[in-house]
Amino acid sequence: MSHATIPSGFVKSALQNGAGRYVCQLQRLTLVFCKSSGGSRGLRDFVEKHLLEFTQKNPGVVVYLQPRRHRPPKLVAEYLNGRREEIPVATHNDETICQWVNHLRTHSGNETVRLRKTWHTDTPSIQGPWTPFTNKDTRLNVTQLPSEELSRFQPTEPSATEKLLRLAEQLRAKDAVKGGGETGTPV
Amino acid sequence: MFLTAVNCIRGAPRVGPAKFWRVQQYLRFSWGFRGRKRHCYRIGMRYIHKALVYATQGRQLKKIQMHKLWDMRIDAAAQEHNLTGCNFCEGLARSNIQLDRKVLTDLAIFEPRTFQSLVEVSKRRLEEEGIADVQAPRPQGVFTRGML
Amino acid sequence: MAQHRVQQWATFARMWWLYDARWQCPFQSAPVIIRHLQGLHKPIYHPLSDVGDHVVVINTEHIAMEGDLWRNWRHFHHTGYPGGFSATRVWKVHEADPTKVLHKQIYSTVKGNLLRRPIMARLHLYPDDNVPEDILKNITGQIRQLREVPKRLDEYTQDERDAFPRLFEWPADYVPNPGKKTVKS
Repeated sequence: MSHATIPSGFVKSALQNGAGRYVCQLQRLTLVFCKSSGGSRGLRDFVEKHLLEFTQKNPGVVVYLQPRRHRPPKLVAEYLNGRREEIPVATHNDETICQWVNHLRTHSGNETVRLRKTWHTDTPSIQGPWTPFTNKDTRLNVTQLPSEELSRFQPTEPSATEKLLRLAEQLRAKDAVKGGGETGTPV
Repeated sequence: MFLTAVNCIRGAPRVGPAKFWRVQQYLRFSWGFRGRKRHCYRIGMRYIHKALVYATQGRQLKKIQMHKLWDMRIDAAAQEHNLTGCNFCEGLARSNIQLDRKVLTDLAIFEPRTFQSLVEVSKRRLEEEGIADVQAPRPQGVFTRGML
Repeated sequence: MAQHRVQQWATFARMWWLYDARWQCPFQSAPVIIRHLQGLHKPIYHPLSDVGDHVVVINTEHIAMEGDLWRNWRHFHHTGYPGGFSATRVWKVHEADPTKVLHKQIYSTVKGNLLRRPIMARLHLYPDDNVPEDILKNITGQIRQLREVPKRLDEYTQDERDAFPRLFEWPADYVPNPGKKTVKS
């Protein structure tokens, strides 16, 4: 349920914005306010004091002023990917509205979702991703299967027979060193 | 129904009783349910509660299941180099390599040669410390190319 | 991009493994075979990802059971009808179908979820060395056996037998099998 109601997504950028030239994703900013109501005072102050500076600093953003009588004030941002964000700013003071405008300016326009991964890479592997043949001996290419050598059981410990054989060899070696002394072994 | 606008009017004089807003808060979670559970509060409320309970449990289970999956993947990757996953992690811990299982899995899949070197480091450390359970390096099979 | 598509094919390529079941224990072999069928030998494993490989098992008629298990182990079957229950000793089952013992063992060892049927479909069992050409062409790897294949005395060459160290010599007048006395004295 929560996967649908609380959407999640991966980190996205608008065409690797910033890797080369940075393009401001905010296309259009509409300031909706009332000319006389008290809740719009902050927005009116913003228009008087800070808006000109904002427009001069961001020539790529089109700013519309929409005075609407008896309507609560809001900021409407439209982005290059077509998405729209609305921030109600009733009774906010102009410094707060400055911060909101800056917030909208720096957004990419992508939906604000829970990030499943806080990173993204187009090249996750440098050495090359794992394949079933990465860690296999290349001699397998020219081996005829079924192969007796590849199938044979390989013990980690020597068997009793092997231990006896090794013991016999050691005793033989000892005999050879002693020059065939009386050791009692018939071999 | 575009609910954001409706919710924004909360500060304005309300149209309708407060219960409407309370119910709407719940019903937004019944997205994708079947039948009357999706629309009717009284019926859907029980299933919404259950869904929220499952979501809470799922958050714990996800961590447990991911950990198990990482363990399986590390074991598989280490077995390709003749070392069990358990011993591999032991060797890394003793070498003070504090890479966690998530990163080890990512390395095993995307940087197989780096993972191979980590396995070698682990094997060396286990040999030095005399851990008897380490699989001895298997002798290289004689490949006769099926000619003999 | 084409390279991503080809990389995907390479990473998720399905391998065909060969396993020689001669003198191997079905109870011991089943987990190893299942590991390859499920894809647990791959670091990209996920239960829902369909990363399992094919396993071709040969010489299933030469499979080995421990001790008296050929006589004591039973395979149960119920036809679904009342009174349709039967228990058959494994040696009899093996006579009728040499692949059934290993097949049943693997089927019961795999977890009984919806993934079991596709996993079993990727298992190919053959009673002896005769494997169809098209399947033999697919084989890309071999699974190592888990038990040593014992060697009979007559399989050793005379040179090997002579070279083996003797612990003691039989006395000259030793008769190996005197045989039963036919006449009661």
